[in-house]
Amino acid sequence: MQPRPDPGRRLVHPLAEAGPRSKGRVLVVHPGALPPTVHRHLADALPDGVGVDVLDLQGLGEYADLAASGCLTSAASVESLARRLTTEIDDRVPLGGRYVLVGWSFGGVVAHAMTCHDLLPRLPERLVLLDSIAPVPGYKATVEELEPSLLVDWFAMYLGARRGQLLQPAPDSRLDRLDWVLEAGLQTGALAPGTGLPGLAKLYGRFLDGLRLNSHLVDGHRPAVSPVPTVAVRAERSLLAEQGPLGWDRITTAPLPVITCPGDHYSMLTDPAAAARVAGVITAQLATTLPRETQR
Amino acid sequence: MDNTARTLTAREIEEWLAGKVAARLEVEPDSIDRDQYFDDFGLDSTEALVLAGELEAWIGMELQTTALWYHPTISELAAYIAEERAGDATAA
Repeated sequence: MQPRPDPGRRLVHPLAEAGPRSKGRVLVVHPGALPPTVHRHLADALPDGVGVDVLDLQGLGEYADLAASGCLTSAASVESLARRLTTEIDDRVPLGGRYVLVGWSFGGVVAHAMTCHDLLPRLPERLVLLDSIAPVPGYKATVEELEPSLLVDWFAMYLGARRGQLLQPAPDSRLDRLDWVLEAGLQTGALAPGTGLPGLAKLYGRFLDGLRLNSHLVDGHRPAVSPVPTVAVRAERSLLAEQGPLGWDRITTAPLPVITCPGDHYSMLTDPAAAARVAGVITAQLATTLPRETQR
Repeated sequence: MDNTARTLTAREIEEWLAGKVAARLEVEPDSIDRDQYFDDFGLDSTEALVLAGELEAWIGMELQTTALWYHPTISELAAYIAEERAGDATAA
């Protein structure tokens, strides 16, 4: 039993309309896991008059089909996804309008690719990467290469964020097992009553399939250096404990500020304090006056 | 309980599914429409996957990815599973 690909799942989710005296637009590239409307918290934290649209990769047939089928032999690539999304920019950003391109997680990889190779008719003021890992050597890894305890931790973050809960293992828990996730999930309400280990394992399997898909796409990607000034925002409890830009400094134009926001990789999208922090970063970018060279 | 070794009727599977859906929706099993599309029960994708995993453990077999797409109601899915299991038993 797998959820059907939703034929009605849209590519573009408008969350806020730009006002008559537009203060700019924000386009967010969203890869899935959480619903695209999760960025409503960010939209609400931005000033009135800033338009916000979410570009949902799950609304792209080729990406959604990959996710549903688990088939990794498709011709889809980061570049093909980026090209497909860039056709939306003209529709959403009026001529002469200023916009910030945001990408969360794998969405950051696609957003970065959109700014390269002259794909965009108009470059954004800034590229803002939300807790994203660069697709560069040293940061590419398959699911099988990652520590099981790390994967289970990520899964727990995801489950918790869906219900606004933080799942913590008991002191004696085996961190590479789902048992503690089940117990913590039931205790906090992140999992429905009666959920058992077989059901949780099925969900975990789908979670890993999603990671495998993104890992496969990243592995085949050879990124260029983006000409767009970039800011990296990292969650306090990020996917990786390593500090710093997670490889993005190699494929972005220096300097690359790295800013921290509250929450973990998933709850940074649902936590109002985190949304406020990210909104502040974006607002500052829209307020910056840039030289003509960034406009095509 | 793993039911790999015994025959399950479509009715039994239907009752199990209705019971599980009812529990998640916090309603009585009798109120669950067996001919309603799964999508219309308001279960999100994660809840559907959890239910799928528990169903697979109960029937003792893995369902094909497309099972729900082609059999999108409790009654249709139950009939499909019962038929598949009967076919597997015959072939064994």
